[in-house]
Amino acid sequence: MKYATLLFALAATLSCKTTPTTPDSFFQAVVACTEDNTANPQAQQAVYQCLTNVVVGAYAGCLSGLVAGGVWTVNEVACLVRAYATSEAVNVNKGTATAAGSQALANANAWLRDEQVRYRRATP
Amino acid sequence: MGSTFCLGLEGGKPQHHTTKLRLADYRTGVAYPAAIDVTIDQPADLDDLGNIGNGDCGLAGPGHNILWMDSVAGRDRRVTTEGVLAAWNAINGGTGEGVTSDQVLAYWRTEGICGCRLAASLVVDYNDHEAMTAACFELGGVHLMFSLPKCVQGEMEWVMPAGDDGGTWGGHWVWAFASSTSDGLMVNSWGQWIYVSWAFVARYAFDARAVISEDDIGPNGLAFSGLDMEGLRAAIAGLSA
Repeated sequence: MKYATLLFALAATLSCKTTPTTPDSFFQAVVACTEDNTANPQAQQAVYQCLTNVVVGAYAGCLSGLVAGGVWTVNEVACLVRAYATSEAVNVNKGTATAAGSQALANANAWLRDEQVRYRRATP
Repeated sequence: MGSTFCLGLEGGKPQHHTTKLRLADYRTGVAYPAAIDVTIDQPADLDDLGNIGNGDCGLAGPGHNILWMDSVAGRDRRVTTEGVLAAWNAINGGTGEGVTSDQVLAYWRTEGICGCRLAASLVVDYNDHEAMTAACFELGGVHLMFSLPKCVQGEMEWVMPAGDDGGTWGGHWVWAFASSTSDGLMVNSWGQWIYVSWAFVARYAFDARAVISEDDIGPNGLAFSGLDMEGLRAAIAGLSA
């Protein structure tokens, strides 16, 4: 009986060890950006808040949380991050960037370099 | 496996840019996104511009770029297959033979392609993913010259082959309209949108150019990137004359 209990506990432990950890939602995701997945104002607000309002370094967890929470899709978040990086870079070059915008660009670029999202443009 | 798609770029050997303009020499403090698609808000460009059947890639590549410039600036479309083929025939004398990238760049600057003239072309280090992505954003895409292997015939993703690459297919000019520092490029070839990995670029590219044209300014007086291009033009004007 003791052996059976031990074997059961060992099996449970091994089972736990082989359970995959939560995968990064974005790593090597293949994303196609369209007007549809960048047009939702609520998603835009959520992503922008992640890129600007959180403490330094926590933006990535914030963005992952939007997907893990089932609120927004990988496509929506990834495409909005790229869109913000583009628009804020334009603002910097035009001399019209705000402090929040510059922070959004820095965080978006760090995220784009780290996450290795595979942006593709799907042929219509 | 064969292909009915034509190529048409002569050359294919690494070039030593001892006397050419380098974009890196003129970039100072410019902001750019780490991933960019300059066509994202523009109509889909699916026109092969005569490249599938004629092998005029050396002119079709610039044609896609000019078509984009006109679209971004809100101008009427100037690029036609006839205009691209006319430039191709002017360079090769109507022989149907391939052209070199230097021939095309010189013609683009002196004669113009479909009514668009270059102010200058700048060499970009295609192994520097940050520089490539920055150039794509700042100057509206990057022109890439490849010596393509046969294994990519018919493929919509150009990645490093697992084994034999089939040998050399030929020289090819494409316009890259999207770039990601961590992933690779999207290029327009034959009116198709093809993904190209950085590893593939490192192995098979032999030149990359960003271009400054007389037509890269939008209605607001700024380039797509928000840059005022006058300073850059002035800096290179004397050198490229």
